[in-house]
Amino acid sequence: MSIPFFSCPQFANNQWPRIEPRIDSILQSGMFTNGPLTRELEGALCEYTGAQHVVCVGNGTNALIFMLLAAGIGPGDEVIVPCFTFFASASSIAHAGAKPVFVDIDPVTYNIDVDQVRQLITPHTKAIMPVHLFRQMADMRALRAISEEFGMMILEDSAEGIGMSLDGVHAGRWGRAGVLSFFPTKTLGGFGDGGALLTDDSEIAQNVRMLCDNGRLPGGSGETILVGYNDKMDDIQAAVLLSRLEILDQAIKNRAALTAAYDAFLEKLSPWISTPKLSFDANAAMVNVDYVYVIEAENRGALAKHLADHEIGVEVYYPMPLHLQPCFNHLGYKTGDFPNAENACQRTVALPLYPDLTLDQVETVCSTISDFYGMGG
Amino acid sequence: MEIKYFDYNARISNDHDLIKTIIQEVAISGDFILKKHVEAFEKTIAEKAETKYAIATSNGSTALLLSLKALGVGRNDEVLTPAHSFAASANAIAACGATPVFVDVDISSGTMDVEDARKKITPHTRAVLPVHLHSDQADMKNICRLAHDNGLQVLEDSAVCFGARQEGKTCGSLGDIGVFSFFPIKPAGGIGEAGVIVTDNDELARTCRWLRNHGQDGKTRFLHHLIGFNARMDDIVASYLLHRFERLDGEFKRRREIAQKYLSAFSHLSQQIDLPQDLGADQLWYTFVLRSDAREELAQHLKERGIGTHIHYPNPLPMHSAYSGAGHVESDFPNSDNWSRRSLALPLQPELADSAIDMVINGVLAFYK
Repeated sequence: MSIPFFSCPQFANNQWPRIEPRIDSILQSGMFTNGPLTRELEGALCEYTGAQHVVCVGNGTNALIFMLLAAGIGPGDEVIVPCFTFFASASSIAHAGAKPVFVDIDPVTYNIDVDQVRQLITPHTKAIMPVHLFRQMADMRALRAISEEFGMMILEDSAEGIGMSLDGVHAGRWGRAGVLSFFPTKTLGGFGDGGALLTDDSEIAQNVRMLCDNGRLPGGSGETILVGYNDKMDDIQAAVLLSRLEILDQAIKNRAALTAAYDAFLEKLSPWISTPKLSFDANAAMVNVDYVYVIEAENRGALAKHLADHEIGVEVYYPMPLHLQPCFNHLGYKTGDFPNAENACQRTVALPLYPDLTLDQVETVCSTISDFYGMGG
Repeated sequence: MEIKYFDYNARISNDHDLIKTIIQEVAISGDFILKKHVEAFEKTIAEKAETKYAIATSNGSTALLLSLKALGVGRNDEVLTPAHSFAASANAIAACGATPVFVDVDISSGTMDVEDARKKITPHTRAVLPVHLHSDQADMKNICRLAHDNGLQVLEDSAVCFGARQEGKTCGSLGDIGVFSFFPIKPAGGIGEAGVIVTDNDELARTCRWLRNHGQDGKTRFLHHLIGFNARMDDIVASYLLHRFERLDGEFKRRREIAQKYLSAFSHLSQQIDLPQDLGADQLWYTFVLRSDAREELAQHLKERGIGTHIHYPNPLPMHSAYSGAGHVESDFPNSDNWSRRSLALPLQPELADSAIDMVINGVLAFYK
């Protein structure tokens, strides 16, 4: 594949001098899981995000599950969650024993439709789970107002949100807790799975520490205090993430430059292509991070095939909204229930965006798209 | 000389360059999770475990959880499991929404007592989850017979004993489905969290494979057939394990040698110490757990001599807060209680020099003089 959807050999080589000494420290200590580097990463993330507590775990999905359990969500509870997002936003609610209540999205930002949230609140609603998708945060000011009005929690799926903030408050810190994912393709990604919980709530933090280590308190007697899971972070991943955190702000700037290049080329292909838009509320108070570059395209399927034929990798985020997934059949939703999400699923496609990507490669991707629509290079 | 109960450092002292090479190789390839190293690892496990399938997971606990889910265990179900065990077995059952029903252990082996299990079967019992513990093995023949006679399924917790055998078959292959853990301290452990599910059953294997990656079938992304988890193995960890496997036979042999040294050195102390059972060539020596009325004093004595020990486990699971709802008392599980009060594990790892073993032996002998 000449321009894969994701690739990082140069990045891996360039970063190795930073990563290697940290790996050496693991090899000296022999502490491979939930060890000194994991603790150090937690401290570094507290500093970066401003959160009082960060608990590193094995992946973002489990961070979501533990967040819900730690916040006391369980059987009989409802959690409102958008139906256009990665599966884990909804599956985590089901794993906590609660019911996901789906809501549509804003067609421009792909984030949760705040007005529709109000209509879905019932006496069983315990929390709202907004997702900060692709590049910008959900409308947290409006959601906070709703949560205060109705006395319910906000638990953020801020898995993609590293570096994003609104009114100076980092993603994941608007609600009672939030999460981060360190899946390898993420803005801050590891060389394997990884995740974290962020919160200022010490009880939630303590609960998550127990939940991810078989229900035991760190430094405790080894007693199982809560029914626990096992999902600890590998220190090798912490080593990679600590190294990447040192250059994160520059990496975010690089992503912005690549995004601007995509925008400049692809805006000319309107109306066949629509480039990603920021919310109408965008102003200096909102800091965005270009994690994924998602366009909408006429004839999305044929375009994706055309790109593949030219050895350009793309991903469809997402081909099917969550309310129509086979595993959620029992919730009784049907096509037509969430038109914005359903429409987005027909039209969206994500283009390559990662540290190794060059401006020349961006140009190649864009001219290939341009050719598809018969517009020339 | 100080002898730690387990020296993680010694485990990988010859592997520093290898580990760094692996990390770089995986990072450059971009094949991070469930890719070629994990696939090769699964193939190796299936061969060695002599099972049709091996499904790599994030760790031994998720291997248990996914197996239970695949067996259909859920709310209102009961699963029989030993009171003397690491918490993972009971936690996996509870995490499914089912109830762990605790069974006492056999006094000699510290593993599930078949007769006590028989008494605890109810109309809600769905499965049996026996655990091979320390270097002892659960009596799988009789447990499986009990399960079969009562229409129950068997999930074999062989997390600690990859490489062990029983009655001509491998541990892990004796029930309907089995698990292994490759957590760093385990005999076949590596450099991060890792687990594997093994089975011959086509449907169980397929369900586990889907459940470990968000319910996706591995062909079509973002189509979720089941409410799956993220329980995946990283390629870095798998790649290292494949290299380690090259010296595993030698390590297992050395573990046996050390255990034999301990067994002969302490054989005349049968009044004061209960020694672990010697199961012969089929046994995989993970830890050397003896039992003594003077457990605390012995541990202290050894500590003063710079020798680390460990207790597997200080408290039977039904007595932990998470499981206090059932209202158990110690006398409900007399053998588990006995093990928790009297057991003590001595250092045992292939990297230990003969001089270190001698020091441990002399320490114990001096205590009982």
